[in-house]
Amino acid sequence: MRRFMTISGLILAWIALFGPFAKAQVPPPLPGAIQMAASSLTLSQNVIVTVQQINELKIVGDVNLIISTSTPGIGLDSAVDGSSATYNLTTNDTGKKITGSIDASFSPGIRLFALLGAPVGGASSNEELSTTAIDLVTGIGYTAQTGLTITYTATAAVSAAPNGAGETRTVTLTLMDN
Amino acid sequence: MERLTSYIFMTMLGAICLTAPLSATAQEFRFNSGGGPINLIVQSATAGSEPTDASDSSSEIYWDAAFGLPSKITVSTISPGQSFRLYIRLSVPSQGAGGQGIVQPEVQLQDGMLDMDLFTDIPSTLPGRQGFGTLIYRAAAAVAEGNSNEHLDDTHLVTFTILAQ
Repeated sequence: MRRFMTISGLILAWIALFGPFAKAQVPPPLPGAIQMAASSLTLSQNVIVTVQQINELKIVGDVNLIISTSTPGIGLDSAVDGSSATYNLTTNDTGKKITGSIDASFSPGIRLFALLGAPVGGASSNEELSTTAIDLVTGIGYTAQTGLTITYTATAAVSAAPNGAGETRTVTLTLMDN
Repeated sequence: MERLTSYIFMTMLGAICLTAPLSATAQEFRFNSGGGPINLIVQSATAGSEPTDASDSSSEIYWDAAFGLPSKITVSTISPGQSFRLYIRLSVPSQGAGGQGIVQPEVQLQDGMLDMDLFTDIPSTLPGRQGFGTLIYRAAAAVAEGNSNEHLDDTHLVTFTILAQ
């Protein structure tokens, strides 16, 4: 039995080191044939990129308009401020507009107008603000701009009563579809 | 007892004969984690600024570059009608002296592109020929590039290849 083990061990060791005694007949590879060992390996992955509609609008700065002078024979002078407030706008959509409104009316005879600087491609007009939203900028397309101007103009009729420390109103700008 | 010993001896020797040749070819390239579809969503911006990029780093790849030569990993994509920008880079943790390859700069994935190098100079010998890294995708879309409602989503089939350099 020990002799059998020795012979078997030697045979198996030979196979381990040099392979089987009788090798299978392997034909030579054809020209251009794929070799058994890969020359490259690949992995694939699906990636989806979604870009949502993004619309962001922000007003920067408050405004204090004081009507304190008049022109004889004409009336009270308007108060204008075109530098205290600006707005920042981002949209990756087209066909947008900005509307404006105030939260409550001023006392009789006092009016507030707003003129927004239009982003590239847009059009704006000076409009009186009321509690009903009105178009201030139309035709807005792809935009990412800061520091767009807002010019406020306050007027008062001579019949308007002085209002002491003033009346505070909140202006709301809304970016929406045309 | 002697017969049992003989049987065990021959079985073990036979196992060595069978496994030794297989372990010599250890080429491997697979996802360690992730690997499934990824959805990158560009969805926010600060007013006045361009939209914020979206990123993903949920996929990790593993390789054993047993090519007998220094190797590299390349990347390409197929994305018909691509509208937005997609970038990728491979982040490989440092693994001691000698390193295990050279990380290449972020690659922009564009439909129909040629294979671009993502990671090069992978050593041909152990331990350096084995490694892993995190795939970091970044999607970007300027406002002028619009949105998916206008253009539909971009669908990429990103392919990574490891091959002798």
